[in-house]
Amino acid sequence: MTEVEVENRLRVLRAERGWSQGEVAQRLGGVSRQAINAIETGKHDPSLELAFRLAALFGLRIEDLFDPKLDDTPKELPQ
Amino acid sequence: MSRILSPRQVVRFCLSLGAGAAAGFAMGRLAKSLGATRRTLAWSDDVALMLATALLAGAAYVALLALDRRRLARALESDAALPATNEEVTLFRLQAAVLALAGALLAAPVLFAPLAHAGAGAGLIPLGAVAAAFALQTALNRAVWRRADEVFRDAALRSAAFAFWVGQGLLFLWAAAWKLAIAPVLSPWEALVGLMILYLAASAALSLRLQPGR
Repeated sequence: MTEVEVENRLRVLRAERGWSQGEVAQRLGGVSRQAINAIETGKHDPSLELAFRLAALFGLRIEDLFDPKLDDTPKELPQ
Repeated sequence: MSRILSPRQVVRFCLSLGAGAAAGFAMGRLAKSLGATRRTLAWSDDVALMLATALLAGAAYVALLALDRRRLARALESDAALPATNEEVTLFRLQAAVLALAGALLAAPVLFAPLAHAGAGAGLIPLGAVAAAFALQTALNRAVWRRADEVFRDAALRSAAFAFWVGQGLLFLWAAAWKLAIAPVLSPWEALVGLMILYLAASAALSLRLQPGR
């Protein structure tokens, strides 16, 4: 199974609103500022629940916040 | 060294070395006063005391951080605008207690071993104290886990998985070698110390990786 690299716009969106990592963590609740840093720097891929909550915090859809670098080439099933 | 690390990081490194040296000296004096000298300590006892010293030094550092909300916030986030929250302070205090107890638990059997050999059943009291401390540490660990977020839990699970997979592999090879009369017997204490080395190394590496990016 190949690993998918996921890019995110969390740092940019946070800066646009003038929020620190701590403020994002406090607004979300249940997550530390270290977690926000880890997600921004690509050291941690958030769970589905946290990804949805982050998207909702910024008023965006998940795909506007996270961009997985997927290979769109259609895969054929072995015959 | 200053090209790789900032002056602040160099100062921190030197302070941590000094704290470690002081703690190690104190631990050595304590061990000597209880009759456990370097001449009688097995390698596993030496390593256990070193790990215990490192854990106690780590506990002291975390506890100090938790005393100052702004300093704690800066340790967690390089350009922190807000001081640490009550939840963050509580979590760090719990982690300091967990680390301190872990260090004490690793050191206690080594330090009290000479007393335990004083007579039949003499080890029961120290064992009772160790068991009570272990129960307390388990409860505190559970409290940390309940307060931790998914990043912390993920790091803890990865450290445990690494320690298990590598540890059980090494233990299997040693056990097989012993069964085939090639390796000497491995005491439970030696096996535990080996396992703790793996777990603490993995945990430290993952913690370092999760340090706030600059």
